[in-house]
Amino acid sequence: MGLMKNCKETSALVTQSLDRRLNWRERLGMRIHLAVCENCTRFARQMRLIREWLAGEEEASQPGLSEEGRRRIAKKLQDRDQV
Amino acid sequence: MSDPARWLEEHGDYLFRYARRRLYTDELAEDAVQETLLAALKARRQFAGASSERTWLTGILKHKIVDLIRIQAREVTATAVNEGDDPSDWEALFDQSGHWVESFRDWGNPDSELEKSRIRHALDECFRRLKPALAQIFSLRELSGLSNEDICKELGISATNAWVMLHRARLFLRECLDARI
Repeated sequence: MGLMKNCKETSALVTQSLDRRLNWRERLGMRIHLAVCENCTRFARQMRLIREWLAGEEEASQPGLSEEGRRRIAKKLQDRDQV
Repeated sequence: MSDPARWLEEHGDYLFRYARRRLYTDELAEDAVQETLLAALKARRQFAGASSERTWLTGILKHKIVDLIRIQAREVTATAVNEGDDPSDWEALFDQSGHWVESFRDWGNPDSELEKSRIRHALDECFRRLKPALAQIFSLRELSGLSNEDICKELGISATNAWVMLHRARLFLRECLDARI
């Protein structure tokens, strides 16, 4: 593949760059396209933001164990502890 | 020595939330917590107290989550491969010359904690709407931090298939979140 990429190829490289190190040709091709394409630049930023937001801490505002769930687990633990 | 009777009370909610973010149903998250506490009970003499009790339990939970996803994935493998190979909904995002059909909005810079928290909740909700096969692989990659190589081993799929599925998961999440930002 040449260095001139379209949006489809660039977006594929953008997500691959989240999982592996791109080789220099891929990196250069991606950067050249991103330099002139606002839409792909936004796409790349949104991909980075999603990763960043996912990396946040556990929040106490999320639901915890249900009462039944807690009871089920407590019982299992008790049964096992006596064995 | 730490006291198993207290584990559930003190760390149960934390462990459940940790699991719930990485698994896609509450039932699976509950299973993960139960498996973790049972394993901890068995291994309690090995708890050296070098780390905090919560850190120790979370370490066990991380493994249990990957185990559960691997088991779940086996059940849906047949459909997963098909899903990964089907490019139709992805192709539709581009025109004939490979340009985006749609223009993306600028997501701005959500910088208040309140706003970030709202977005994280929306993201969790979107994650839970992924097809199971996509949620599994996305969770292993982004939430458990496995390398693509390890994911391929865990799920028994090719590198190309793994990438296609991750790509589809990310495109879905982007679109889902876009409607909520």
